[in-house]
Amino acid sequence: MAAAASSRLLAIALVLGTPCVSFARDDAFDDKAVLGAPPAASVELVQTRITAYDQTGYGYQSQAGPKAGPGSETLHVLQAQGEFVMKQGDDLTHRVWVPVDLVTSASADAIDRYYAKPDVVSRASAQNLAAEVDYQLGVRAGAETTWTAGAGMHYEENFLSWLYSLEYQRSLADDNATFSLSAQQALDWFDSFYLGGQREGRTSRSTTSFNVGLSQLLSPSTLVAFAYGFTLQRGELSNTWNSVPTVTGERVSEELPHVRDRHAASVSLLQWLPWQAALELRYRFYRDDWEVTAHSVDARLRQRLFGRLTLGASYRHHTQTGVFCFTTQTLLVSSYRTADSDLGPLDSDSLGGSAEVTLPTRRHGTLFLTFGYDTYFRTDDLRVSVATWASGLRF
Amino acid sequence: MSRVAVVLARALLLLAGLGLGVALGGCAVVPQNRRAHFADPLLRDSDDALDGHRKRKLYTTREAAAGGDGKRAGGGCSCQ
Repeated sequence: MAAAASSRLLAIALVLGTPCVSFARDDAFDDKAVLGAPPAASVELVQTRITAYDQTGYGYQSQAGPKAGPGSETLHVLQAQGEFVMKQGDDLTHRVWVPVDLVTSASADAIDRYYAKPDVVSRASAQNLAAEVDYQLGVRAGAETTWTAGAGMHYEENFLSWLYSLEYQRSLADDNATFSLSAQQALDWFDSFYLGGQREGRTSRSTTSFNVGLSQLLSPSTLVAFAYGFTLQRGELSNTWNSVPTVTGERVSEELPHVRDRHAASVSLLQWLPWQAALELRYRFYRDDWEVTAHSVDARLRQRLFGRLTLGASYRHHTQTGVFCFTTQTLLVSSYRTADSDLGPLDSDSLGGSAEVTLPTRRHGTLFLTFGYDTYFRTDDLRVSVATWASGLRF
Repeated sequence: MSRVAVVLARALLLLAGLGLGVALGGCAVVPQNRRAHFADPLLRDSDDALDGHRKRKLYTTREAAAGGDGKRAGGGCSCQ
């Protein structure tokens, strides 16, 4: 009897308890129960990248040549970058990025060629060091929403910048689409100086950018993305040491408007290819109120070989009209004028190649080593060779 | 209306249309269990931040047409 009663009670308890067990099971099988609590902090990425730029060419803004121009635009840059990304729990991501540029520039160093020894950028050809520190904090504010705030500071000889950014990103349609909205602000505070290099005083510039982006999965192997950016620039928009040849064979200072509004829109396609390869295509349109219209197309192909080696090839073509005040021989009565070859009408092409090796380690993530080489050439004969080397660990 | 304003208005109209299309929820075309390619480093690493920075530096300091990539278009260094 006692055994039968016990069996009956057990059966009743099982029937009544089943919903509770089911309910408890739903709770018990959340991410934390299955995967365990997330670590307090975990490193996601550590990497360094060294890039060398070797530029040759001639531009009428440079004083490193005859007075009527053009002057040398020879430039060498050695750039070191470091990046550290760490996750704190499930919701916080910290990113620290430090780029350092070591620059030698014939153009900036030549401003004392015909004049007194300059006060600023006086050691540009010897070595001008530019350094920056940026920090970003990403906060997951829900299953589909992430906010990212950034702050940074840039320093180089007689030039100081403060950088701020804020980005909102939201996943839509079960992560098939992503919408992002961001704003970036740069405040530049720098020396203004006369044509001969003597210090005139301090001046400033503000650059405010608003960006909106949208990406959408089209298939299990295709992603398309759209982006639009609007930038307002106010203040001294010249570097103040560029010069412009005159019709009489002299040189005068570059004069640019203190307002510039810029628009750029792009569309890109990312396609997985069945032979372990990926193709990326991009088109960008640009227009601003200095009458520059530009079109850029990019293509990039990455191919994996033997599991651990990835080869890459890229090509880019860019064409632009010049700014409304571009000239290589100005009349002194001109209110605005520039001879900066970067602001003139030009076409440019860039060809690149890269190789990356990935080596999984037992306890420290995946070690990667990357080498790349690009060559950039313009219709005005400016050429840049770029070699880059990166290494790091992805966890 | 200036030509820049016209370009801006068209771009905003385009993005508004795209946003509306996504908001209507007709774009959930790929279920989660069919997105393996997008977790592959071949696609994921196409936006390496340091590689992107050195390329942007090459182009934005030598051309008059920066922007449209979600980043700052100008300022922040004496070469821009």
